[in-house]
Amino acid sequence: MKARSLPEARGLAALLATGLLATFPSPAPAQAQPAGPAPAAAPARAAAPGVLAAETVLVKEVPAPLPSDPAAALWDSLPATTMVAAPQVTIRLNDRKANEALAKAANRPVRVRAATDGEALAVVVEWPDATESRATPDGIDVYGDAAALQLPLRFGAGVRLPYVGMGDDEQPVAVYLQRAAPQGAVSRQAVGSGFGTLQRKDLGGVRVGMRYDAGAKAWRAVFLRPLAAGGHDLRRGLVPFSVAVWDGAGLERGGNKALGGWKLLRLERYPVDPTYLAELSWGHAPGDLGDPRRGQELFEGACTVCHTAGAQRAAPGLAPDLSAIGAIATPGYLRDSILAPSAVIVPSPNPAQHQDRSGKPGPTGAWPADEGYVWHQLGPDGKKTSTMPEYASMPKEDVAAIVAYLRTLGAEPPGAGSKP
Amino acid sequence: MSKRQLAMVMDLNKCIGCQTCTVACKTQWTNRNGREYMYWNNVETRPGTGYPKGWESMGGGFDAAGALREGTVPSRSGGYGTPWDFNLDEAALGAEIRPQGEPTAGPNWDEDRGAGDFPNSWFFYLPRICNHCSDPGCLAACPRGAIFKRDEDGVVLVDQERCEGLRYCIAGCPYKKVYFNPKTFRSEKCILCFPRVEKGLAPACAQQCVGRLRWVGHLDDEDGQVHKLVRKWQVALPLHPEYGTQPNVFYVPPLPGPPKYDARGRPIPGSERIPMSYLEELFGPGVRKAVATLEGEMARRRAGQASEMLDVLIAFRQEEMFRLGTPSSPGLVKLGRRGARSVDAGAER
Repeated sequence: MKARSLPEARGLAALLATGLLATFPSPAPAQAQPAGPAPAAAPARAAAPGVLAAETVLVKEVPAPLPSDPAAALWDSLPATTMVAAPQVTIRLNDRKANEALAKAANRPVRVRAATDGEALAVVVEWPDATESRATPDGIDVYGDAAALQLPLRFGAGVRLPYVGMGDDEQPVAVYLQRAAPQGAVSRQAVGSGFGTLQRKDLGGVRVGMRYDAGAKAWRAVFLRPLAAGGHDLRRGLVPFSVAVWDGAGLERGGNKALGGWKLLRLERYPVDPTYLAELSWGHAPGDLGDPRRGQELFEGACTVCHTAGAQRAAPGLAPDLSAIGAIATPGYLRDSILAPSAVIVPSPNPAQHQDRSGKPGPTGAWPADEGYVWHQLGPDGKKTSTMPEYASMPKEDVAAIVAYLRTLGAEPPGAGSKP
Repeated sequence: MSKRQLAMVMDLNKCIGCQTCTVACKTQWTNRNGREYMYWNNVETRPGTGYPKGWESMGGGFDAAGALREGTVPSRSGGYGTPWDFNLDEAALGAEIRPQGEPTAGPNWDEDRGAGDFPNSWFFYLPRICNHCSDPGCLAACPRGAIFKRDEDGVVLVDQERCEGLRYCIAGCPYKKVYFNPKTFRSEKCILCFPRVEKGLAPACAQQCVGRLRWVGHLDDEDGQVHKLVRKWQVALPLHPEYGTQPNVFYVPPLPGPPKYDARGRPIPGSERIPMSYLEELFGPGVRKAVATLEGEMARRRAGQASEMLDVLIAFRQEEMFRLGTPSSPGLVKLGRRGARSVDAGAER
């Protein structure tokens, strides 16, 4: 759905003047960028040269050919941006031991580097992990560490970002995954349009590699693909991406993972579309958002009937759990979810998880699924409407305040005490 | 939700623990390609920890409100066990027969251990396959929607194209009858021998059962013996109905057995060798009525009266135990020693 509230024009000129275009080339040294998107980090961001600098990875131009070997010396010479990957709590899965590990899991710092030789793009993902976990030839409850890179299949001005959880009905994503196998890594490529929809697909020319550094206790995973492959053309100034990592020791697999929000690759050889930049940066500039304390009051006055957020617990499964939403959602997405929730329908988890025991059993005695746990309604035209009410008439400053509050949820910067 | 449901009845009074069903299943489906450790069909000894070890305390299924319960995935060493060989070469030269490696678990780990002291000891066998539940916990747990029930017979299957080996189904199944294949990186389970069923053959475990204790048929087939045992006479009960998945394998419970004996070897009137409370734990409160019905029928028979129920349970003719079609369906088949043959084709001969 493209009928989005237009980016406020007011900040555009200023944004361009002080913003991203002025930021590069000035490779951000490793770990130099503040990672947390929380308002708490706003002063640091104000000091950064561009409003989206903390969200952006500079893609360094290097001579061909690009290696895919994670041990290649090239990677250390690339600028790095550290971002937060937060344990996935939006939906809850049913492995008791994995959920016990999840309850103790902290945000993880994920360092991303990128390079291009004009033909291919390499994205390098590095993250700390105290244990090297690999699938084994006969392990039943053994899970390999893994990493994934997600790219929207369509992006640019006027095209909203896909739902960060593997896309949505209207905006599909390409997903590149690799998982530590008994030897080396297993590579998977898929397209997705929401939880549980990933469909394996050969995305063309993909090479991957991952390597555990036992000394540094960290993984490095390399994802390499052609800049343009199968109609999926990344030759633009700004390319959205997100990453996810899995800790096998925490029984993480599938939706049980740590994921980051949408970030941007900056390919300097291609121009930045200022309209797209403005669309992406709503709420990123300091002062754009309201007072998070007021946002919290508003949120707890209405939203916690269905949504869990931190200490405010709603009945589980009624709606997406927002406890870590600040780590994975952009301000623009949060705004739109309030104003026009049906624009992005977050897919419900498997509806069979909740039986409606007051309903009429089917011919074999099976209970119908409890529709209270389905996050959308189907119209006669087959169009989905979110069960979340529209707050289109909510005052702008209230929306901004709620977004400011949501941005604080789960957005603690990684640090001491992080589980990996 | 399927339209019809194929179900199985097992009479625990007839099971001798010979494991022919286990072997029939294994040689048909699980002796290769990463399935070697799996027993889609196993016969465990009760009381005991079962297979995989301790499966009843691993969660899954639904709570009283109808919400999926969390569960765990069994480990290889502590849960399923790894098949082991014996030192037969050395034993041939006189050495003591010993397993190679240290066995930690197996498909009938508690074999013949039983409970109670002589002369009042007791045990019985519990053969288990996938229950092809009406509300499968595995299906509800799969985040990818890779598990489905067939419309025509309710057989629960894992779509091998959709499965990504995430194993939430194993946590969701309260009977722990979904298995992870580390070689194919997919989950697999009992398929109720659907390729056999489609050809009119009973599942291998039922066909091969030397004790004739397994009936197979559609629950809504009122002329079928499965319907009569489960619905009409209500002497066959699901295992752990409180798990909320509505299993479609039903058990004729073991009779509480001969009375206990006192210290001087005299029978104690009214005593139960197998505690009814234990049977209630397994089969729910309906077990008392089922046992009373069975004992009533046996008393009638002893008094020289006819009992259709006991005739069915004795299973004079194995071919009558399997009804895989319906009277209204042209696919109706009967099974005889010669294997499957459709009634229509038979009429043409």
